[in-house]
Amino acid sequence: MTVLKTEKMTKVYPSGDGVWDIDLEVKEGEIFGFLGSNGAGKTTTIRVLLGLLHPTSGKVEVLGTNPLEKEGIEKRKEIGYLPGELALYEQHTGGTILDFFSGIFGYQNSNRKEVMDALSFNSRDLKRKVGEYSRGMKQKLGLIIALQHQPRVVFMDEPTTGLDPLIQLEVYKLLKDFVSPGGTVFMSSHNLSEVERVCDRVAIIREGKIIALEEVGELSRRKVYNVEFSLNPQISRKELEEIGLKEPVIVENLVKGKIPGSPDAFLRRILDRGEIHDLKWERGRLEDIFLEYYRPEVGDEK
Amino acid sequence: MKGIFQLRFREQLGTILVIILGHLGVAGLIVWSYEAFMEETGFMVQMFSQFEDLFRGFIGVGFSLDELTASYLGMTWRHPLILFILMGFGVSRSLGISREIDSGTGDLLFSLPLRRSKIILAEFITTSVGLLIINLSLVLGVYFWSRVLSIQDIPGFYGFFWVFIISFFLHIMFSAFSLFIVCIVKSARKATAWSIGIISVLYLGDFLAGMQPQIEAIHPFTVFYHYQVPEALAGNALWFETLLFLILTLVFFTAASFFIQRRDL
Repeated sequence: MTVLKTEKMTKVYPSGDGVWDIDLEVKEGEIFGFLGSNGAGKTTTIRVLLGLLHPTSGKVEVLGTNPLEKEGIEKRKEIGYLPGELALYEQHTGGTILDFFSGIFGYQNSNRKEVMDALSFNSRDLKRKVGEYSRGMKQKLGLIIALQHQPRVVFMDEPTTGLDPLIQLEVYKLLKDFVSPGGTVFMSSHNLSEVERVCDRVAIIREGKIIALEEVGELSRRKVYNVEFSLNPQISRKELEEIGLKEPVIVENLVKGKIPGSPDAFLRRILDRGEIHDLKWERGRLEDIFLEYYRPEVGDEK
Repeated sequence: MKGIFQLRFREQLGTILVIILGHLGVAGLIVWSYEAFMEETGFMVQMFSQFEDLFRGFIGVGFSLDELTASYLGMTWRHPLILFILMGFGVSRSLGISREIDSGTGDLLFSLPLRRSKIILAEFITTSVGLLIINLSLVLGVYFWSRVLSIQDIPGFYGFFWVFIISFFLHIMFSAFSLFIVCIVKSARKATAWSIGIISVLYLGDFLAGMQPQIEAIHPFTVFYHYQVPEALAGNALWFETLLFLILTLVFFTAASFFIQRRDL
């Protein structure tokens, strides 16, 4: 079932910035990553999906309704939201804020305790004013607000900002647990390892336009391997490129380069040419693929 | 809506209590000094006659002894300091929405399953309840102290009732006006500048129009011209003025609801 859909969704600010022709479709039970550098348009897209911004053109549907219309506003009861730059009412206690949101959403079954436990959020802290919280604690409180009413879909703008690595792992687990019974997560991030770890699919946005939309597994398959070896006898740079080594660098007997996809075929081919020694190889990171997308196109620099 | 009302009321409770205590003190001072004022009335009438235009412009009444009695108390409500406290409360509460949008708390507030117009209605009702309590405290304070100090010639309860009504409606009207500004202006800084700027210009216009016969024609448009506290204290029912402030409140609030629905947050 489609939880979220946009067709040619465009939002242009008076300054000329914005997002253009965003086509997305997110299914139930999916963790969808929205990847991009700062200012690429991630937050703008989320704000349009939540009905905080009016799209300039195009179609937006969340849970089958337009988020700006009456039915869409009603559907927000089934939506959770964690803003990127989370700001909370600092003069109130954490408990007051959670009660405020739960009161507005008017739900019967709260999983506040489960979320608090998962995030190691001490219930005694609910009696303290939010102004006294550390950044990480505020972020945890934001996550509890977003998830405590058991929404069907949750929008998260950079959810692990300010959290220590151990709690980040807990958040990833929490999100996995949230989607397993049919929940859906739409999360923006510029943390690639985070996306790789938790997301099922990812869209990459650059300068307001979606430049790639793929399954994370597929992106991972596109990874490159960084290799380094000594070769005897030496072969030319051109030959190395012909057998599949990208960006080869030759220093005396030492060869360095990148192998896209599986390294098996390359290794077979290179062994046909001679002996290799001191082979070192490591899997490239998702960052490398991401940077590939973000590499300026020819002509961009002008 | 109930949740927003409760949260906001809790936020403003401290301010309300401080203003109420301040008002009780001010009211005592007013009533206590009133007696001294009446002893010196003859001298005061003579003194104020020297500055008739200025005085008329400031409190909008003439100089008979009876009128002056009402004017003395009337000044209490029309005094810039009291106006600043009462209006400051209502206006700053409305401008709070703009500050929320700027600071980011508005993101969570406006993504709630409530229409934006309902959210600002909840905010406006909370502010109005606060204004009701604050206005009532000043009126009851003056009335209370005048009875405690057994002051003679103080206007009756009916006069104070109308002062309360006219004062309350003036302040919720300006609160609705600020809300309207918030809904059409992008930043909290601009909303503050426009709200306070326009209200100040109206107050100044009222003052100058009272002094200068050449610009007297603009006087009814200054809004403050209709804030006839001395008339109310004299025991006159101010139906027209109350209705005017109420209509303006509804107009500004309706416009605010219309624009908040259509603007980006």
